[in-house]
Amino acid sequence: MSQPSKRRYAPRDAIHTGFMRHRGFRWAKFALLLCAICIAAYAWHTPLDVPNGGTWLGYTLGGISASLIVFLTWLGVRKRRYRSSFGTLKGWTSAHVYLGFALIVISTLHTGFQFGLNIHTLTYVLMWLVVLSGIYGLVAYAKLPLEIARLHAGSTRDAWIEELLDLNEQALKLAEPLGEEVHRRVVASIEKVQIGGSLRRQLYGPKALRRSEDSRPLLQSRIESLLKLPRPTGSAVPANTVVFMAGQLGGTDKTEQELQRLQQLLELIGRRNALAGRINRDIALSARLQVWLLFHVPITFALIASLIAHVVSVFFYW
Amino acid sequence: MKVLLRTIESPTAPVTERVFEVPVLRIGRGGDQDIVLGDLRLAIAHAELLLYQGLLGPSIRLVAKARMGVKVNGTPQTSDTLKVGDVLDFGRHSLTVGKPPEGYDLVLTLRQRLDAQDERSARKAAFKTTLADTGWSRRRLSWLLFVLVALTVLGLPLLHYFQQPPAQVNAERSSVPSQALKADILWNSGPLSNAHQMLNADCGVCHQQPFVQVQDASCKGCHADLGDHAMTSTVAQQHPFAEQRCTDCHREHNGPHGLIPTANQACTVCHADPADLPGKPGLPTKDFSTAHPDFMLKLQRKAPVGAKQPFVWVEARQGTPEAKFEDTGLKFPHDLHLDTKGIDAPEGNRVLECAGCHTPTADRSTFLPVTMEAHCSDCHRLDFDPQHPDRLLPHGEPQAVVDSVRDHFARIALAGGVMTAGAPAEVRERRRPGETLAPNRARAALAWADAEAQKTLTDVFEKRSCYLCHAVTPTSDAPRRWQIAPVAPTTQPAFSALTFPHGAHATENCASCHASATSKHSEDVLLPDINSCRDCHGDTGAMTETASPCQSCHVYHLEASAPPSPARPAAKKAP
Repeated sequence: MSQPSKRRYAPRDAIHTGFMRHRGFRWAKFALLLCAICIAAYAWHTPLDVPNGGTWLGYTLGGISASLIVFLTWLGVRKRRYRSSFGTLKGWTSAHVYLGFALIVISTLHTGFQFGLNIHTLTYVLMWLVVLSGIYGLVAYAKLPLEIARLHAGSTRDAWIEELLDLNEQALKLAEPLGEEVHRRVVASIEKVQIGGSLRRQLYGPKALRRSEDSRPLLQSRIESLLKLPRPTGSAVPANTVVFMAGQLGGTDKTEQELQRLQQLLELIGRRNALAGRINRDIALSARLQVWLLFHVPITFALIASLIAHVVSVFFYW
Repeated sequence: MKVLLRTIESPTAPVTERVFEVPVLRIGRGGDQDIVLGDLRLAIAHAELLLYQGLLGPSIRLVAKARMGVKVNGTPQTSDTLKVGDVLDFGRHSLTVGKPPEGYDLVLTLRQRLDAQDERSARKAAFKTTLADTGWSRRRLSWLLFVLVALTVLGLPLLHYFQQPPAQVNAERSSVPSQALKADILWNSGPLSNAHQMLNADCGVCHQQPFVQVQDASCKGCHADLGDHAMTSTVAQQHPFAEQRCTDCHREHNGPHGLIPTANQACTVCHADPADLPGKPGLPTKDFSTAHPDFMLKLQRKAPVGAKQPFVWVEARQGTPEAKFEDTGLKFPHDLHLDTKGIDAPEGNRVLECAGCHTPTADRSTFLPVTMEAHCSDCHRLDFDPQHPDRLLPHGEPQAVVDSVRDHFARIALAGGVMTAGAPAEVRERRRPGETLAPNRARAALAWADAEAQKTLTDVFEKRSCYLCHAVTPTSDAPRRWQIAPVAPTTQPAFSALTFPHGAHATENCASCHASATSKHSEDVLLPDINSCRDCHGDTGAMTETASPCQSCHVYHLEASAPPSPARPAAKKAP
């Protein structure tokens, strides 16, 4: 039996290789070469007037830039065509990133550094916005998935939410015999738990929960000190569920069973709050991983509209 | 208070009815309540409904007993007056206020909206945990922005264009657009040149047809008189002139000063290798600094004998012997006049400067013609009789000189009283008023006058006044005894292809280009050669010299745009 050739073990593109390193930086090299050619042409070219988009080189650079924009946008189509075998999606993404960088260089040369309050500069600015948001996305894709995986630690958000709902139900059951005030507090606390929400809430999390999360060590110490007190604290009702419970614990003269229930409830709500915090953190990370697309894609379409107007206007008033 | 409670457990189950006759209807989780609702989130005593006799008649009031309140139509309330149709939320249950039938104060419909399991799913589903749940749709935003941008920057200008189609007339003085800017200003690819700013409001003045490049006719609406580069119409119809358009060189929308091409390639693209060009394209000129031909000079030469004009124009290229001299018909040694020690003048020693004779034109581009009367006659006085120093010879007409001298001496001879040594008595005598000479004495006086005139004429023509500057030839012709060589007219600029802008070089002194201080003959050509220019001027893009495009000296539009040459009046024809 002959030894299997080494080649068979060197796949075209190792599965773990990121799209940045796709095929030994093939697209990075291509983009660099393209930029180098365009810069050289720009340096060599001495138009009759001044460098601008209307010289033959200007038209050429503009043509390349427009083609690049169409090609870069086509990634959105290609990634939805699961049956397409026209290049791998990883290859397309790699080309998307590097040619996106090249687009900045080539389109800047196309402008001839002439800018004004017009649709042509609008197109250029929109292109920059798209590329900059893409760069954010690139950084997000490089950093956030690791952070999310570390946070999940093998579990899933869905399981966490199920657990959170379970904890809420358990808390209600525990709270039922503990008097109206405790019950009301627990119900209010359940209503208060915020998971996700609006775009802003998803990205930055519910403020109240974050604060209670941060104050947990402090609360813990307060509970301990309250436990030692012979009498409950004054009539002022603490605003926070956990603090209120602690007050009940410290000054109660109820039976041992009730004390146990209260302790259980306290622990349960603490767990629930921690869980809610983790879920919101997960939601925030996922949102940050995705939110740039909410900018990148719509601005791309604004760019395409502006690009069409740019090209039409240039030839309409040729 | 009499209350009818209709309970609907599920959509398919039958409706059960209960009647309460209580002062206050209590609702809550506790077993002691009138309406007991088994939802752990409710308080034991959650709320109460009571009949309230107000000024406007009886009404039903809700009083929440739990501090979390009761949601009435979705809004938490601690107390409220209920109307027909209000929906009260009690956890998974809802109570709807209905129109009470006869005999009842209140009718309520109790529904269980969700069972415990459904409620859990509903709660889970209500969490907005992904960006898709927030209502921000990439697709919707994309289309929104696409349509918004397209309408604004494409639709609006097009709308304006089709609402007010351009008049399709060339811009003229009478039809310069003055209206306000239109939406298509958004399409302006860059500021117009200063001279064209007034066209900003109407793109259609130049861009007359959509998707068709600006045509020459658009430019010629205003620039009708511009000359062609091609000298003849035959040449203009040949390559490369046939396919040339104004906009090949004049690139608009490049800023306030962008319209005249400054790059030499505008010219050198053809003139670097003019072999295939039609007409008379001249020598190959690929740049100024190394490959520009020597200057071609326009010089005057004496015409052959019998020619109509005394002088002809010839062209001679600097560097050839032919370009070193020019026939002027005058004697004028520059060196003598520009002697730094000064020269003798009637008022004494006088140091002459170039500007003493060469007066700039109003635009300071070149100089006014030097004339005898204005520039020479201060020193070169045309007096001829020492006894009558105020009598001057007329300049320019030799016959008038002869006549003038003869008349002068005849008059003084007849008038008498002449003190010149050797004059006869008839001439010396003083005459009394009314006295006349006898014919024989008069003849003697006139004979003296003729002799004196002849002597003086020979003197001024052959030794003094005329002779100093002109070539004078005595003739055998009795009435015309002397012929003055014709003086060359200077009606054309010396450089054949340009007018040198002297005003732009005012900081230089004349001697830095013109070797006049050492010129002994008027035939010397005192024009500097191209290397004098290269001392300061370099090609476009030069770093250490004045970058000089071809247009610094040359013009493209030959006929009309060439500035009129500063015509000196042609020297009067010699007799």
